[in-house]
Amino acid sequence: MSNQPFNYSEPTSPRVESDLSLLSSLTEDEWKKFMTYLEKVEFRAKSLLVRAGEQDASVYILAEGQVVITVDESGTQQLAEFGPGDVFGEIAFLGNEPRSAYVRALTDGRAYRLTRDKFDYLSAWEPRIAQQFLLDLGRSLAARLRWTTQALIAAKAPDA
Amino acid sequence: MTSAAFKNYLEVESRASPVLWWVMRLLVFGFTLLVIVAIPLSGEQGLGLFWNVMIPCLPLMFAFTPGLWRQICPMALLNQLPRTFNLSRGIRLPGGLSRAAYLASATAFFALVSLRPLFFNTSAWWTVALLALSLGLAAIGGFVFAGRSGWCGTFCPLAPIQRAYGLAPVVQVRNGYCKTCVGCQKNCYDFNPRAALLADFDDKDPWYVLQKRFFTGALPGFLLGFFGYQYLGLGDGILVYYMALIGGMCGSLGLFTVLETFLRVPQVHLSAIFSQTALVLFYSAVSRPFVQTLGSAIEPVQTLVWLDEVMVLTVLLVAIIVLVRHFEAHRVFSEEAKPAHAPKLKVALERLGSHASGLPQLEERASGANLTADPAQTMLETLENAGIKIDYGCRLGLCGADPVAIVEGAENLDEPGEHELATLRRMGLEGRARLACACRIRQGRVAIDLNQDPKTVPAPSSEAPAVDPASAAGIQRIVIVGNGAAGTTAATELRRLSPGVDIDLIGAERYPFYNRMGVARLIHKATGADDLFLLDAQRHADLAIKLHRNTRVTGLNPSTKTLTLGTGETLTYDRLILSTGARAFVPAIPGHDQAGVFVVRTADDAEGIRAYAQSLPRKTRKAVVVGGGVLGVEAADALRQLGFRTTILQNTDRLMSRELDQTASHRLTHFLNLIGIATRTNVRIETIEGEDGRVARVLVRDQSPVEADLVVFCAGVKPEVALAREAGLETDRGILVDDAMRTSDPHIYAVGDAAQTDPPLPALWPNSTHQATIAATQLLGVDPPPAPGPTYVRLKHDGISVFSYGQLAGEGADDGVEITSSEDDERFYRRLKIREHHLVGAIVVGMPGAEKFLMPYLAGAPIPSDVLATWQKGNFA
Repeated sequence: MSNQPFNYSEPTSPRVESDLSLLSSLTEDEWKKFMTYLEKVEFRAKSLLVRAGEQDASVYILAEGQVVITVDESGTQQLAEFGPGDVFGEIAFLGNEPRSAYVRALTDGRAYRLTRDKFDYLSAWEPRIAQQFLLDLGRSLAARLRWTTQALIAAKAPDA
Repeated sequence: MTSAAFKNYLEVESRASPVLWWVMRLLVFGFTLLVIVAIPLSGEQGLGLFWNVMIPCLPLMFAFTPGLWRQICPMALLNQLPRTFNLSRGIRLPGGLSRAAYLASATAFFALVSLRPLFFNTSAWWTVALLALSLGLAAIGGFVFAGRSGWCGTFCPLAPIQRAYGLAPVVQVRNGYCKTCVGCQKNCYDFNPRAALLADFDDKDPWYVLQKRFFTGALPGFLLGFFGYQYLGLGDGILVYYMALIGGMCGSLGLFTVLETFLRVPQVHLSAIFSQTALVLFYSAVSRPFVQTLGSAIEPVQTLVWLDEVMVLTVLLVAIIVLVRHFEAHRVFSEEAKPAHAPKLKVALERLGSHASGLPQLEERASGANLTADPAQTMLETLENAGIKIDYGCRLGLCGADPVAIVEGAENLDEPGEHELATLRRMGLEGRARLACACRIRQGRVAIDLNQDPKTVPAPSSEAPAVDPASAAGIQRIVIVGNGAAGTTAATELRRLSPGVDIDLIGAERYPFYNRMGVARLIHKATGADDLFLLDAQRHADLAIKLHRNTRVTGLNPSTKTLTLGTGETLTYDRLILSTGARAFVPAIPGHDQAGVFVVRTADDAEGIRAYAQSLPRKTRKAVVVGGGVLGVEAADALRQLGFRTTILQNTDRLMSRELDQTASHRLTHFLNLIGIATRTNVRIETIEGEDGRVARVLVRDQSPVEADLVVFCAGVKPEVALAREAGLETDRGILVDDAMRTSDPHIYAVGDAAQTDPPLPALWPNSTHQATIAATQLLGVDPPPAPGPTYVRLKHDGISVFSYGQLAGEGADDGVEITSSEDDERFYRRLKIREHHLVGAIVVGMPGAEKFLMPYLAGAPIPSDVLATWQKGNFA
């Protein structure tokens, strides 16, 4: 956002946080329980973790390595990069629709995957954790929507 | 988003009190009025002081601390007074004017400066008029337009030069006029002076950028032309004068373009360098007249001689400082101007660290995965937790769906149990592979390769029996009808005992022996029946078992020991084993025979459901499963995974009523409801209604109808006895057999679901294979296998453990200890029956893995007292 020094709104107006944490309120024990619902995915550099069109409604938590989200399989059009600690795939997870992009590993790495199925089981056995998980996903989507809205406003108003 | 490096005026403190600022403004304004009055009165000297001393002070101030001027500028005061007293109309500057304002003020600047030698420098009245006009326009702008958009930030001819010289203010002074920002103009210099030029050149509007480029690019050339004309004494011609100005501007803009094009210096840097060059040029030219004018005004002249050089050096220093600050600011700005990433959801890294220390390791060579194994987990669970796809069946070591070639570290695995050994033996894999569901890694490191066919692992040498028991018993040819678990086990067991006897295995289905317990999976998985094969055609050939696939037996004549096949062939036998199995039972409910009603017994049944499901519209898929036994629940879950809203209709008061008690069944029901499977109990189905030739809903007595695009019956099985009955063998519900599995004809045996023992046994895999082993041994006259322990039933589901073992009620239920877990434990329900340190019955329902603690004791191992004591305390971990 090139005009960020020229955000004329009052500094007290709400601003978009740049990063949000997933399940940070869980205790160690709860987190361990949550982890039992995750599948560990170990990947090699250049391998594809996610293919567009695939019906794979999983959320990924990247533990090690770097991945890039691309529109096309060859990866010429890149959308975002993710690194350790980043969470991705929540759009397909919540929408329960086919994947809209490719995810390719840039390095060797390790990720954890929560499938829709396992999420159903999480909801059944650990409803509190599942609820928090959904709230956090929702919060991040809300923040991203707000960010997108701001970017749209900035892009639409050259004469502001 | 705010930027720490580019603080807008709202984020910086004022350097002086507002009162002080007002005093200073009024003083400067008063001084300006004084100048206006004094110039005409004082004649040439006043005019000279104004143009040669006062005006040349401004550029340095613009470069060093432009905000100071903008606080005290008399034009700004007049411009902002209407706003201060709420008298301004506050009109927003129209888009077109706003876009062109900079160009207008830049043009005005060049034009007015060019008029200096012609009018202002020599005429007091012209100068006074200029000052008065400027003040007037500033005031009018303030009355009409909002914020500072009427003059200061837009039309003021001094605005472009302030932005150019003061592109990186050394000292920032807070904008004191705007109490609140009204956002009146783009990239406002009063809002954020340090970022203004950077944002200008980062703008999306190319015309906007061009305007800035034009002004800063032309400025040094303009000044060169302006001062050069006078120094070089090019005469009085206005034409020549303007040619010098325009020529200078063109040369300067040309140089800008050349540097930009050939050296690829970014515009924003060229603009900064050009404007600071202009600043130095300006002072190089004006320093001498400045000193001279000042000198002639104040005595003595001599002391000021060195001042012009000091002045130029000072300005040079300031220009360098400004440029350095600019480059630093640009670096920060480009960092921040990078497309900011959208907010990311993150997990704290320390939570994702590997907890791998000291635990056994499993290396899977096909995928290259190195996994940490929990000694309490089976190899199958370890692989599944890592998302590695591997087929599984019963998860009990019975079916043999998941043999794994051990490449390294077989000694680090636990010893195979009785069931696993029997299964491996049947598959011819004893000593060559392990079943992933049945083995655990105790310590160290184990390497497996899922791509390696276990059959390619060399077999350990075994001794052939000295005398073939079949030839000893005078048996040449054995025919087995039915190639399910019972029939195939009988065949492999016979072959193990007798290398020479002829074995014919006749299967009605088109597949070789497959894992019938896994067929529900074919509904939602795209893997196909091949995945369920437990003994392929090649293995049958290796074992010299003649497999007849897709072959019907149409007649049996016990007196001639002859079978007639559907193909017209006949087969004679010395001994016959009937393992004709059972077929799915469909009660004679009206409408049960229409399109969309299915059973799940064979692989083809399940594939048929999958095919039919895909012909339905995707949005409205609803399914009904009739029967809430193990198969019913598994089928319902398969349909759920295929996207169906599924309802289980159970005719008793609870799901899995044969295996589970009230509480356990309730827990299972609750779980299924939570994951989206509806359940109804005590249901009496009246009719299955159709629409357009296919099923539409199920009508239920005393309850609302259930919508269904698909109905699956899992309402139990009926033994296949037609062949035996027509042949005159004694039958009841099944084919009656004695303890040796012999029917009423001594040469004919019956095993598996088709056989009826006394007392009858439930149709379970381990019962079938045990009966097959009894038949095989009895038939050849060798020792029968030891009686197996109690059988157990396990629901095959990833999300919940449902496990039922042995007996909790019934005979001898009174002796022994019963342990039941606390009602409060929502995650685990455990009810155990223990007699003399032996487990005789168990029901476990809970989170996946809930029954693990029982595994060591299922084969009959005694339960140590201390373990029993912890169980009694409610601790089962």
